[in-house]
Amino acid sequence: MTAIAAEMDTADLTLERAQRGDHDAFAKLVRQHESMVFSVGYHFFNSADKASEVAQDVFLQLYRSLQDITDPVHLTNWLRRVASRRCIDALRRSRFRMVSLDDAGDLPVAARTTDPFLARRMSEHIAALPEAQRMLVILRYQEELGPNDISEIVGMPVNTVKSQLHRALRVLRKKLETR
Amino acid sequence: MSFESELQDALRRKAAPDGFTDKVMNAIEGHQVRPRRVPRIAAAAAALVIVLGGWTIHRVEERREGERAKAQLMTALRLTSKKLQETQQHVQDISTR
Repeated sequence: MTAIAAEMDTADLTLERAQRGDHDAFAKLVRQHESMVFSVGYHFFNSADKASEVAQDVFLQLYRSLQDITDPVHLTNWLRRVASRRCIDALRRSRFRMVSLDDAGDLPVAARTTDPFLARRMSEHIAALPEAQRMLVILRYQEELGPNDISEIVGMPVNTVKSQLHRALRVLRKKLETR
Repeated sequence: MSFESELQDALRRKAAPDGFTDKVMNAIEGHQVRPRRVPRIAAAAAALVIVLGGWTIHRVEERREGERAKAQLMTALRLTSKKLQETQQHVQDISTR
């Protein structure tokens, strides 16, 4: 058995145990995916507090809907879909006030960026994009998904995903060129 | 560094705040959240509705069949009676000639 197959088996077992009501197994699922869900919110809102709030709601919804999840791949895509929808809904509902990165608080970063100043500027530009384009850019470059996968997650035609991404990248490039 | 690498760099995954999992588990264990399950009584009621519904449809279908057969029989009797009257009239016409 390859290492990947063994890992998939373990993930399957954890999911099954969580579905049977094992809280330790569910906690393991949360730990496995918390960084991804939190980061979608963090990059979308530019706020650790708001990202944490949305991520918690996503995992509570997962707990309620656990019986609908068929396998670990479905789980990852379900979390991406629900996280992105929750972010957009929360923004539309409250017209959440964007905070500057200075107010966003220090966060433990999973991997050090090569140029923190540049990454910071880029994050500010991303945060200024329209909400739909912002989410597409996050799914494309944080989650490294292709247009087809993004289209399924956000429920948008593939061609629209491509054109919106193209538009967002053009804006970002232009803003960076004027630095 | 290319533009796409800069984007990936800016959008690296961040670690969730310390104690995030515990916070989620506390919310669940504090009975604020329950997994969505179909209650047994609801499942039994649904099964009963299906069985009763099937039986009712069967009965309605049977009654319709009966009514259809009755209507056919009545039409046949009407036709026969008409034919009989015509024959009778014909016989009377011959005998009076």
